This record gives sequence, C-alpha cells and structure tokens, in this order.
Amino acid sequence: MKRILPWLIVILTGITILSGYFVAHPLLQQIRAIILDIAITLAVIATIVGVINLLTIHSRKVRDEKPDWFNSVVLIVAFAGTTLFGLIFKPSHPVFTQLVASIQFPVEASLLALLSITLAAAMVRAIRPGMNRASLLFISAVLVFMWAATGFIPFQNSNGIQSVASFLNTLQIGGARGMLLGIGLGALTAGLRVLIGKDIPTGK
Amino acid sequence: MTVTCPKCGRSNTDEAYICQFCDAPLVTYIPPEIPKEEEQAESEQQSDEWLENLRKKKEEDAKVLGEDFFNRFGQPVEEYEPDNTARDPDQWLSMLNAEGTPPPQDPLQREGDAPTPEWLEMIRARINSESGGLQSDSPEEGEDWLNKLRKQTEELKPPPEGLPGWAKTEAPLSDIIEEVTQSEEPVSPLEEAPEEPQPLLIEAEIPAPAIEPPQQVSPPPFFESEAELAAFQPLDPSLPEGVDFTPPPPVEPEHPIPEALRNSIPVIDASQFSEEFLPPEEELLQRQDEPRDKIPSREIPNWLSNILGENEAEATSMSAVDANQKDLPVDGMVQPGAIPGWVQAMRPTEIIAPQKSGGVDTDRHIEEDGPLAGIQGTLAGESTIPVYSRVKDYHVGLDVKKKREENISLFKEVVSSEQKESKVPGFRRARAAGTVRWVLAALMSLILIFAVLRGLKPENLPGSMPKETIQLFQAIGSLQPGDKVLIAVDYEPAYAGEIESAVNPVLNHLMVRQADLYIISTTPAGSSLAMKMLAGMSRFPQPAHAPYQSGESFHILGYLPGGQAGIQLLNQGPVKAIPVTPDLIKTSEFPALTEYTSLADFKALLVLSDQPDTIRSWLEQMQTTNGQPALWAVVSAQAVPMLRPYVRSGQLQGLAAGEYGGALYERIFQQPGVAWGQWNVYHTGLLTAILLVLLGGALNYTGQWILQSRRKKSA
Repeated sequence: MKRILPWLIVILTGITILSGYFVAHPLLQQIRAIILDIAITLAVIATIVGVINLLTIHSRKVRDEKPDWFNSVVLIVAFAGTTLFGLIFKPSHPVFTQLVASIQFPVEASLLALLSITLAAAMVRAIRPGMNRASLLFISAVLVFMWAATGFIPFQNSNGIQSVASFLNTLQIGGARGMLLGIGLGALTAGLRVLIGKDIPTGK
Repeated sequence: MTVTCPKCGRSNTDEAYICQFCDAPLVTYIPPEIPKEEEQAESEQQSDEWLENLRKKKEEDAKVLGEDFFNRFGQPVEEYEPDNTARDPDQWLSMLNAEGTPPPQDPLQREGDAPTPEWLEMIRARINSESGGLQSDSPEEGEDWLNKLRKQTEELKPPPEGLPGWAKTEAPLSDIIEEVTQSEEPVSPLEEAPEEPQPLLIEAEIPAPAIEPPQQVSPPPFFESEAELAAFQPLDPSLPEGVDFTPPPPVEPEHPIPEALRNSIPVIDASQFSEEFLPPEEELLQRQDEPRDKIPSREIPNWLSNILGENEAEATSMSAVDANQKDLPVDGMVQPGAIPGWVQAMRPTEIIAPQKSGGVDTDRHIEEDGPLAGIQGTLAGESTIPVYSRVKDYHVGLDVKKKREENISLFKEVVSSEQKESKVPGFRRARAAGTVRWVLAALMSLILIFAVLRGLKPENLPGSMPKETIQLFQAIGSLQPGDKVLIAVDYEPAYAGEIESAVNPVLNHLMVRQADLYIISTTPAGSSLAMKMLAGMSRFPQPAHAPYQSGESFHILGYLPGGQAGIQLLNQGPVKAIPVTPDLIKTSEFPALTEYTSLADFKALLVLSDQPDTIRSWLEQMQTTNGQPALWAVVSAQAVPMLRPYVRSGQLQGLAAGEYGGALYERIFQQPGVAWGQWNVYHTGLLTAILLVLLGGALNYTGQWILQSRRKKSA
C-alpha cells in the first residue's frame, strides 16, 4: 500500500491531465486546475521545507564553529535581510529590484564568464601535442561557429557562398529536428510507461 | 500301521513325520484346541495338590531307586542332584544331533566319573548298524531301566496344561499309559494334540540295553516286591475328588468355529504336493515360530528322527505348560489373549509354496505377531507407512555468484581508476609560456579597448538579414496601439546581458507601436529581471517611444508556477493562472484583464529565454485560436540551432537571437541601441580570439616540426 498509493495517484493524475489535452470538457479543465493548485501548494511546502533545512544546516555549522562558518553567517544574514525587506517593501520596490540586480545578476554573469574562459582555455590546451581527430574536429567546429557569430562572412551575396551557407544551415536544421524528435519520443515513452505503471517513480 | 510316502511311495512307520528314505513330509499340522481358561485354572489347582503328593512320594521312592541303582551300577545315588539335562531327556537326546560330539552320557552320571558304560556303547553300535530298524523288537524291551527313569521323570513333571482331567490323577502314569496303549490305537500326529504325552512311543523306540535283557516285565523300581505292587491301590475312585477318569467330553474351544467356517476349512493333503513345492522343514519351523522339534530335521538320522518325533509330544506338552504359566496374569496386568483355535486352524502354516529363487524379496515378509503370525506375503504395517525424508536441495538457478564477483571487482577497479589522476602525454613546456600568456592577454585587451574607443557605429554587419528576424520585425510592425502582448521572461540572470541587448530593440519597437505589455515569468527571478529590463530602456540612446510607466503601459503579473502545467493552465486565462501579483494585487484589477480574458485576447506572446526547451514547452502547451496569440521569441545565440526548425515550420513567427540578432534588429529599425553599441567590441573580440587560436596552433606545430627535424639531423 505504501508503494501502490503513490503509484495510483501518479497514474490517475497523469490520465486526467492527458485527457484534458484531447477532450476540451469544462469538467476536465476544472479538475486539472484543482490538481495544479495542489501541485503548486505542495511545491511551496517543499520549498519551505528546503529553506528550513538550509537554515538548520548552516545554523549548526555556525554553532559548532566548523570550517568556513563565517560564510554560513553571511548566508543566514542575507536570507533574513532579503526576506524581511521583501515582506516590508514588496518585490516591486525599486530598492529591492536594484538590490537583486546588483547582487544576483553580476554573480551569475561572472559564473558564466568563468565558464566561457574555462572552455576557451580547454580549447587552447587541446591544440597542444597529443591532439587526435576528435579534438581537431571539435576545434574546427568551434572556430566556424565563432566566425559565423561575428557575422564576418566575406562574399555573402555571391551565389556560391549562399549555397554553401544554405547547405550548412540545412545540416544544422536536420540535426536539430532529429534531436527534437528523439526528445519528444523519449518523453512520450516515459510518460506512457508511468501511466501504465511500468515505471514507478520512487523519488530515489 | 505304515504310512506311504507321497513322494517315493515307500512305507514308513505311522509315527514318522517325514519319510525315512526321501525326507518328504508325511504329516500336516493341525493346531491343538486350547481349553477354556476356567478349566485350565481348575486343572492347575488340581495339579498343585497332585504335585505335592507326588513330590512327597517321589522323595520316598528316590531313596529306594538310588539303592537299586547303586546295586546295579555301583554308583552312589545319595549325592545325585538332578540337573537340567536329567530332568529333560529331550535335551540330552538332542545332543546326539551334533556332529562329532560323543553320545550323551548317562544322565545320572556326574562329571569326572567313569567313561561311557559299555551298554551305551552297544546302543551306539546298534544304532549305527541298524539304519532303518527302528522298530522295537518287542514291547518288553521298553521295560528297561531307562524307560523306568523316563517314567519317573514324567511323574516329576507337572501335568501339561492341555491335559484332560483323567490324565491329572495321582495314579502312576505307567498304569494309565498301559490302559491307553491297550485301548487306543497308535495315534497319528496328524490327529493328536501335541500337548498329550506319549510315553508309549518312547518305550517302543528306545533300544533296550544289552547288559541285562529283561526276561519279564519288572515292576516299577519304587516297589520293593510284587506284593507291594499288588497291594498298591492306584485307583481309588473315591479319594481324588474332582478327578474323573472317564474320558472327558470334547472340550469346546473358547471361540468355537462356526459350522459354515468349519466346513470351509480346506483339508490339506500333503500327497498333493511334491517336494519342490514344499519348503524345508527347518524353514517351516522358523517361519511358524513353533517348537523346534515338531518335525525332525534332515540332518538328524532316521532312527533319531523317530525318537525325536516321539519326544516331540513331551516337549510340546512341556512347552505348552510353560506357555500357560507365562500367560497367567501377573499382578492383575492385562495379558494378551489366547488366539482362538479356529483362527489358528485357518493359518496355512503347514504347506507354503516356496518362493522361486528369482522372487522378489518383498514377498518374503513373514508376519511374526498377531493372528497372521507365520503367514508369508503379508503387507507389513510399517511398510505401508510413508516414510518422509528431507528432499535433497537442488540448485536450479543460475550460479551468478562468480560472475557477480567479477563485475563487482571490475566496477571497483573502474571507480578507483577514475579517482586516480592519469598522466597526460607529456610535453616539454616552453620557457616562454608564461611570457606568451601575458603577451596574449595584453594584445587582446588593446584590441578590445581600441574597438570601444573607435565608436558606436556597428561595422562588419552581414549584408543578408535572417528571415526570422525580418518576420519578427514585420509582425511587431503590424500591431495596433493598445494591442495586448504577453511577454514571458524565462531566462536566468546569467544571460541577462545577452538577452537584454537582443530584446531592447524589440521592446523599443513594441513601445513605439504602443502595445500593452503584460509580463509573466515561469522562473522566480523573472519579475526582477523584467523590472531591470524595462528600467534599462531608459538608457536607450535615442528612444523613439513614449515613456512606459508600470501599471499604465506595462503590467508585471508575476510568477507562473507549474512549469508546463502552468503554461497549459494559462490557456484558461491569465487571471485564472496568476490571480495575484508579487505585490499582492489581484490581476483582475488590471485594466483590460478580467476573469474571462483568455490567451486568444492577446495579439502575441513574446518569450525571452536562454534555453530551447523553454521555447519548446511554450510551443507545445500554448493553445492558439485563429492564429492568436502569435508566438515570438528572443533567445540566446546558443538556442538558435534548435529553434530553426520551428521557425521553418511556421510555429514560431518571429525570432531574434543574441547580440547578433539585436544588432540586426536595430539596423533594420534604424534605432541604435545597446546591441548597436556592443557589436563592434563583440565582433572584434571574437575575431581576435579566432586568430589567436589559429596562430597559436600554427606556431606550436611549427615549433614541434622544427624540433623533430633537428633531432633527426642530430641522430
């Protein structure tokens, strides 16, 4: 019963949602809305539980004075300050917006920049001796796309260059469509397996 | 009388149980009738009194007998203590059967006395010489000393249990025997009960000693003279009370045989069976668990078999007495009951067809107890009881233990190898590597600084325009003032720089077209990103649109939870999907939004995303009615290859991607913006990086080639 009940809930919910795609019945729409509200509520509760767990772990780390405990202090203070500020001034307040824009955006942008630099350094190292055919192909593809991204394509108006560009674009579209079809079929298969009870999501 | 052997046809004495010539059985066995218990108890009581009197008289006569014996053989009798051998003449007779053993000594002779007397040697010689002459010469020969001793011994024995009342008197047995001998014919063993003594036969068979052949019948030794013998009144009908000398009526068995069953009992005729169907006599005796000496063995000489046959009656009678004594209840304990005579009569114990040599051993089971005792071929009770034994465990599964252990060891090896740092093929690091890095960094910085200082005008833009971008421009250009456009902010803050530079010219165009903008987001940070994006519109160098104010020209509805399900729920209307804004304002209070507002009321949906999967979710979940809302997208450059198919299929009506797309859109719209200002630096930096990568690779390979050529020359 411990395993059958979640399995039944998943199947019934999936069938209900799936039937709403094919049958535009108001009753199904209402049921689907109710199910969605329940899912949103559960997601919020899960978020709250996660936040409480995060604060508990870092509080214990500060109390025990474990290594880098000061970072935990910063996290707790920042979380408490942001929450109080948002509750008091609301998220649309200019100060709150500027606060988020001044902290979150630069941090994430910096992480992405580090990723780009790391990829560039890896590519440069790949040119070193010991490079095989795969690395050579990878480097060639990267250089071509970088060149295409610059927009600096000489003789773009010539028919020969346009034919070559069209051929390359067709290859790109064909490969992309194949990937999309594979993703779609995989998602469909996975969904049907869950609906017929072949796969029981256990959360592990 | 003689009995004709059914096998060889020769005549034998009527006392013989087996043929003297071919050892074929001549008799069939009929079990004796067992008297009732009441009569047995009464006879026992009488026998006790009779035995007491007899013992007293025996003690007196023993002295006389001893003196007579001493006078004859010169042996003292006072020291004689009768042993078991003397008491049971059948035992010492049976000793004759043993090969190589000397003939039995005189039972009255003690150990260490003189050797075998001469008269006994004569008996032995006569026995050897007369193989078949077992018939007594005359009945008078039985009146020798041995016969007398036998008679006295018989008197010492208690009367058998099965004896009739007339045989339990105090009268000397010799007298009674004489009467019986004269009145009755020799009784065939087939008809007489084994318990009945047959002293007459003993007299006829034991040869008389040759020392003093008696001339006449001598009186019993315990009579001094003929006068005492004549004066002796053996039969006094008045003295022994309860003793009846008349032949007793036939004793009715305890369980009388029904008449119908009595008639149904087959009469076994031994002559109908040949020897091959008759089992050996010893085997019969063993099977029947009867006294061993009912039928003489083949190994016993013929002359002895007759003697043994005669003594059999005595032994049987004694064994019957012992058996009855054993059957007496002890301390009130329940003893096994006697088997009815008619049941014993039904036992086919006499003639049993022998099993062939190739017979199955399981058919040779012989019942040992109960009414079926002695019957062969019965089903043993224990054999019918199923015996359960533990079933042997058979391993029918695959033995994957070894294979599993191999896989486990292989997995551990793989994991451990992953944790070890593998050595990269070494190369000799150039001494100038650090210097080269710094040179490259300085070169890149100078080039980018030059591009920034050079001006905002975009250069080296491609002459051809992407179709999807042109479609987007045309679609936005077709909007009427007041048309509602829903904008979904679904990108991460990390991509904010690229997405904002691409979406700014598009938003500028929408504001120029005076469209009502409603902003939602499927990510929690979407609202803040939207606020930052709209705030950046004010930095547009030459804004061509009127200023947009929050709550008037654009509305931030907030976060749309549920992922794909939330997108599908949005088909019912923005108010139903997002009832409250992040500022806790009801979305139904916004202008031009009611509970009945649906997606079809929006002219277009502009999705801002950095991932192609997000665009795909919107394409799959959003429902359109009469082509509304149209789906437009402004994405990162990395998502363009995956979204081109949707553009070609018409599902995506407009697309602008990355810095390049924003710059092109500004170029089309002829409104320089952020993309316009960043394009030169972006374009110059990419070209510089490509050239440096190619240059560095060329230099590396050139250096390696030079080194290898030098090594070859030096070698």
